[in-house]
Amino acid sequence: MSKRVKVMSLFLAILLTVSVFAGCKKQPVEQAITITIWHAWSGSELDVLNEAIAKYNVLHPKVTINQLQVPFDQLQNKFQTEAAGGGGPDILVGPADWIGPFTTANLISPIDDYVDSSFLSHYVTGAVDQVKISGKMMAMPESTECVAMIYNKSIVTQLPATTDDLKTFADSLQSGTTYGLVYNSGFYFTAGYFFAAGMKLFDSSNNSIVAQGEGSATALTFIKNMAADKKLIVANDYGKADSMFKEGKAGIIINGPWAVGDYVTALGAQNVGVAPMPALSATGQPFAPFVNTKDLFLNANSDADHKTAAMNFIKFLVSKDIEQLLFEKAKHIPSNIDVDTSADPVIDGFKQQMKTGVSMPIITEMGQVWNPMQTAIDSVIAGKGGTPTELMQATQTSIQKGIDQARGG
Amino acid sequence: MVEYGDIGLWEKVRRNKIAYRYILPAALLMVIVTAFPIFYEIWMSFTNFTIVNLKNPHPSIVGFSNYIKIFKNQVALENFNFLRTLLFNIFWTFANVVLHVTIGISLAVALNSPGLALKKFYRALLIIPWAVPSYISALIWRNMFDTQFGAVNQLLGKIGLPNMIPWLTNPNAPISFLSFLSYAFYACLITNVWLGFSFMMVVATGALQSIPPELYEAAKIDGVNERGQFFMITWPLIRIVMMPAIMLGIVWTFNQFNVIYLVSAGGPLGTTEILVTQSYKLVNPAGVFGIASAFGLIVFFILLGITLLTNRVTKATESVI
Repeated sequence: MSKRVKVMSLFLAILLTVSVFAGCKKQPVEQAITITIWHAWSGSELDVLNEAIAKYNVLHPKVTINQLQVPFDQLQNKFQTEAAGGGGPDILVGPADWIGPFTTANLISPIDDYVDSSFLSHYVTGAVDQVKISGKMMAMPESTECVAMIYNKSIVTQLPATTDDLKTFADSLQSGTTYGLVYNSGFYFTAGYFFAAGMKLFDSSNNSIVAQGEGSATALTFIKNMAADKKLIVANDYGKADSMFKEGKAGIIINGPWAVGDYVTALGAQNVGVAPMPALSATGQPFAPFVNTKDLFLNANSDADHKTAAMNFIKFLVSKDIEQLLFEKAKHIPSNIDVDTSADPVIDGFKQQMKTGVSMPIITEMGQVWNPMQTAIDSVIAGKGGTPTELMQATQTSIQKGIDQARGG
Repeated sequence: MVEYGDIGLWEKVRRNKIAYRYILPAALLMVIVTAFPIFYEIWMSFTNFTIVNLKNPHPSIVGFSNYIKIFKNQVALENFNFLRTLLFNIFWTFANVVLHVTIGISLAVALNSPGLALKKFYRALLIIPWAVPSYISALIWRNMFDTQFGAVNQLLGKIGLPNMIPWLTNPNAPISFLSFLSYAFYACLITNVWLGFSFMMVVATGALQSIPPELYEAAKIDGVNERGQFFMITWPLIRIVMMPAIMLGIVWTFNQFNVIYLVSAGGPLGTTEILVTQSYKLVNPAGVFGIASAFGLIVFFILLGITLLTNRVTKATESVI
């Protein structure tokens, strides 16, 4: 090795050693930190989120917030897989029924240490209660939601009171590519009629009893009859229903408050109305949709600094100002009681629908219900799998198999 | 010089020390990214590994019960039926490759006819399906198969055919003697044929251009008609080039995840599920990693069998020519 090379390497070695100490400055009051948030928000919801991040950055310039939009049907699994492997975002936005599986798998951390009773006194009690598992708050509720009937006032002139009326009325509206009703046959959207028909999900030890009694078979028969009517569109296709309504090709859609902001943008505020879904003619009972909260989860893998920073941002998101924005632009029904929601017909429609709703169970077993119930609905529409009663027996067996498997059976 | 067979393994390694040093980094990388996951998967397939074990990887050993569950269709996943999926997958591959090859060669022959105007333009046009990323085409086709608003049904309506065909929503069979093929199968088939024929066309065109025109001239003098020319000159000469392309087509189509998952998502009611989409669903949404690993190994052995079989077929054809 020549002398020149030796001198050069010595110089480089010193340079490297010195550079190690470059980070040892005095810590600033707020250290630079990056927080990640995963969500399935789109349209006006996403606009508000970006606006909130911009506002937060003005107040806390050292905090970088990266948001990632994930399609809703992928979000739960993506988080589950990433977080179970020790990664994942610091904050996740999702519905309350994810709390059960996430808590069991130890993927989210309780937030009790970060919120006190004076903070929580600003939030709807029902919403705060829904996110608790054995007394611990596992998430921060952002808004409350349920599905209801959203209608285009330029097409729909009267509101049907029963499902029979709805069918006759929607049939009369069909002409060309305009349909009176586009009915999403996803279980989340049709659950209201299953409960209206008298179905129960679980017994006292959380085993499946969906086939008990006549309820679920009655509801399946109702869906079958709706699907057989070619003047209606019955499909388990959220995107199709959503774009049809936005384009003014559907008079009535069944959807939740999160979509209303975009509908108002597409059709104009004067054309969008919200009302409870009509009562089920077979039993005369009102539509009873799942009522659940949309929540902000804190990843159990994040370290203490990230958790604190993430909680600060969560608190900012559910603050009066941001929830006011989410309410005005995206029509989220706020969990914060300080938000001014007076005289908004859209919110009133959902609030009325919630009166007959059922609180969505957040137990782990709930996760096993969705796919089998969806298969039952898809099968009855396709005329496969036997009578509605036989189908529900098979569905109950299938749900119970899933529950047993998840319990380690 | 000593024959290589006479010396021991260690001696062989010693003599080629430099060579082994050169491949060491690549070999290590292969062990980490390929060999380790394969052995890990084999181990997982004998355990009850689920999502909770990702954080705490100590599942219990359950022997062959995952394999038994798969063969007995006892997996807690909707519409899981191993045998139906396997048979459907084989039929799907067969139907696709036959159509790809027939359409591909026909077009190549047609475009190869001397004196055809705008030949290059047609070729460029027909290569487009292959040039567009397949997931984009698949998503466009998915929308075109919509019952009320899709372009396919609207076109059928315009020419006076039934125009409310439930392409992607009806699990029943439109052709009664092919009762295991739902409407969605035909939708996926149309999509994949559209995506796949160009490749076969390109390969066939290349092979056709290497055939000396003198052969056809000689055939004409001998009074052989067009059909005879195809079966006696064209086909024997392009077969040696087409065979590897067909083998490749079989393997690609057998594992054609994009088209199935994006057009029909395996639905309705699991009627268009193929093995790869089914194994994906065992991981997401079912989250049963143990069963998914066992399933993956079963699929591996099926593909191994197909590969060995196709290898034999190719070798057989080589010896004939």
